[in-house]
Amino acid sequence: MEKVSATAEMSKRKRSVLSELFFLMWKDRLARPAMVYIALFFALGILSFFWSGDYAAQNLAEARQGPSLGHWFGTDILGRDMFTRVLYAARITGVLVIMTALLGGMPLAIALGVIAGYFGGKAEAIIMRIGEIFIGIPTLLFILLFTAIARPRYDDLIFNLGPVGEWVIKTGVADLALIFLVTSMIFWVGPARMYRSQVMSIRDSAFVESAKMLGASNGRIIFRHILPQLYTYIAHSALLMFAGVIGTEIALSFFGIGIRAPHPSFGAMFSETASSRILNSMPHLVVIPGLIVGLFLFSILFLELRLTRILASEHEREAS
Amino acid sequence: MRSEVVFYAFKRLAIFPIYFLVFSILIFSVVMYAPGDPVDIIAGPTASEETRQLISKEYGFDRPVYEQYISYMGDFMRLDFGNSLRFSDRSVGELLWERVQVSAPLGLVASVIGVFLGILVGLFATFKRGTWLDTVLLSGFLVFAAIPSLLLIQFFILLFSLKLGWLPAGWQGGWEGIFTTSAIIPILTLSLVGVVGMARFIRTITLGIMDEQYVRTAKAKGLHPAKIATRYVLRNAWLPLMTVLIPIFFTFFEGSFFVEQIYGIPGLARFTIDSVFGRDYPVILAVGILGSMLSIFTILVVDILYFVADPRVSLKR
Repeated sequence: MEKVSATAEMSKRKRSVLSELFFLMWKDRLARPAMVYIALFFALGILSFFWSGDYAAQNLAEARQGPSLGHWFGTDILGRDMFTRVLYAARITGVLVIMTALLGGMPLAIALGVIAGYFGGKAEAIIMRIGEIFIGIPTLLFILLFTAIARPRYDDLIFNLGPVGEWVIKTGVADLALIFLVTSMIFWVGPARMYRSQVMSIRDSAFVESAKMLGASNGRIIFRHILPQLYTYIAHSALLMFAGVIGTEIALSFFGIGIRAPHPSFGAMFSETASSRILNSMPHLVVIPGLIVGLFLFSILFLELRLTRILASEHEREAS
Repeated sequence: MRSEVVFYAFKRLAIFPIYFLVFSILIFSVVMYAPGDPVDIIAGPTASEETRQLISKEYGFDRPVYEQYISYMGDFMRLDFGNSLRFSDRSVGELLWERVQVSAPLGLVASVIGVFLGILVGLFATFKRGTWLDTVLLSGFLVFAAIPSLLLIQFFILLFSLKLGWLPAGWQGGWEGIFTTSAIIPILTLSLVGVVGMARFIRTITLGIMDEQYVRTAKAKGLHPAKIATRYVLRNAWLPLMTVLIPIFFTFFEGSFFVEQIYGIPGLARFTIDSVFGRDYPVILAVGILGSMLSIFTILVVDILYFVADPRVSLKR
C-alpha cells in the first residue's frame, strides 16, 4: 500500500509519473551508474548501425588473437573480429528489450492484468486459466522443449514465404522474432497476476466509485485513475522481465535454437567457449563479452533492487 | 479453524487430476504433432518400406493419436514410460532413474547451501539495515543472480580450474562424482544463483518482526544478536519462509540445464536436452509430464501453506 500512496502523490505533480520515477532514480547516487551503463550498452547496439566491420568476415590468418590495436576485443577461432560481433550481439539484445517493452510481454501483461482485474467475469477466468497453465509448467523446460520442437516447423513456414522469408532468414529477423514470440508468450503471466490483484483493490476504492458516479467511462477510469497507481509495480516487473528475456535469449542461443550462425549473439558466443580447451587458450572470448552482458544484466537487476529502497525512503520522507 | 484448513487443502488438491489431464494432453499433442517421423530414428535412414511399416505397427504409430494417448497414459499410470528410441533396449524409467541419482543429490546439496546462505545474508542485512554492509552484501550476491549460470560456470572453470589449478575442469565418474572435488564448481554455480532472492525475502519478512515489542525487549535485555535472530526473529518468519522454500528449490534446479551440459555431468537435465535434440519422444513425454506434475503439485502445496500461514488469503480467491 505504501507504494501506491507514493505514486498517488507523484501524479499530483506536473511531471508525468514515468519521468518522475526516472528522476527519483537518477537522484540516487547508487542507481545512477547503473543507469549510465544501461545507456552505454544501448549505445553499443546503436553503434553497430554505423560500424563498417563485417561480423561474419573470417580471416584465418588472424584467428585466435587476444585484444590488440587492430582487434580491440581480439578474434575468435575463425578470425572474426570480436568487437564487431559484440556490437551486433548488443544490438540484438537491445532490440529484444525494446520490443518486449513496447510490443511484447509488458503491454500484454498490463492489458491482460487490467482487463482481468477491472472487468472480472469471463475474461478474467479465461486469462487466469491460461496463466495457470504457463505457471504450472517449469518455465525453462517448457521454453527449451517448445522451441526445440517448434523450430523446424517455424523454419519451414518462414522458408515458404519466398523472397520475404529469404530476407528474414538472412538478416536474422526470423530468429529474433521466434525468441520474441516465445518470451512474450511466457513472461506476461507473473506480472499480469500481480497487476490484477492491485487493480482489484483499486477498483473498489472510494475515488473510483465517485469517478463512476460522476459518469466517467471505463477507459477514463483505467487511464486516469488506475494505471498511474500501477507504475511502481510496472517498473519493478519490467526490469525483471527484461532480465528474464535477455537470459532466455542467451539460453536459447546457447543451445543453438535461438539466434543462429552467422548472426552473432551472446548466447552463441558462450556456447563456442563451452569447452575447457578453448576456454584455456582464448579466455578473452568469454571474459570480454561476458563482462559486457553480465554488467548489463546486473545493472538492470540492481535498479530493481534500488527501486525498493528508493520508494521506501521516499515514502518515509513524505510521511515525516 | 483446523477443519477449515483441511477443507481448503482438499479443495485445492481436488483440482490436481484436472490439471493432470490438461497438461498430459497438451504435452502429448505438442510432442506427437512435432515434425519428424519417430520411425526414422528407430529404423535408420536406409530401412526398407516393410521394415518401417513393421516398426510403425509394433510401436503403435499407425493408430489414431487419441488411441495412442489413452494407451500411453494407461502405461504411464503404472509407471511404465515405454522404451527409449535412442537406447532401444532400455526402458525410459530405468534411464531416468540413473540420471536422477546424479542430478538430485547435486541439486539438493546446492539448494540447501543456497537457502542457508540466503537466510544468513538476509538476517545480516536486517540487523545491519540502512548501513553500507546491507547494500554491499545484497548487491554482491546480486552479481551471481544477474550473470546467467552458463556464463558463471565458465568464469569459475576459467578461474579455479584453468588459471589457479585448484579444481578439476569437468565432472568425474557417475553419481559418486558428488564425493569428489569435481562437485565444488557445479554446486557453487547452482547455489549462488538463488542466494540474493532468498536473502531479500528474509529481509522483507524479518524487518517487520524487528519492530515487534518482544524483539525490542530481547535487545534491551542485551541478548546476543545471533540469539535474537534464531530465537525471536527466525522462529516467527518460519511459516512465510516455508511458502517460498519449495518454489525456490526449482530455481536451484533450473541452472542444471547449463551446468550439466558445460561441466559434463551425466545428469537428468543433460539427458533431457540430448533427448530433445535426438527426438527421443518417450523420454521427452515422460520428462515433460512428470516435470509439470511435480511443479503443479508444489504450487498446490504452496497454496495450502499460504492458507495455513494466513487464512485470510482464501477471501481473495
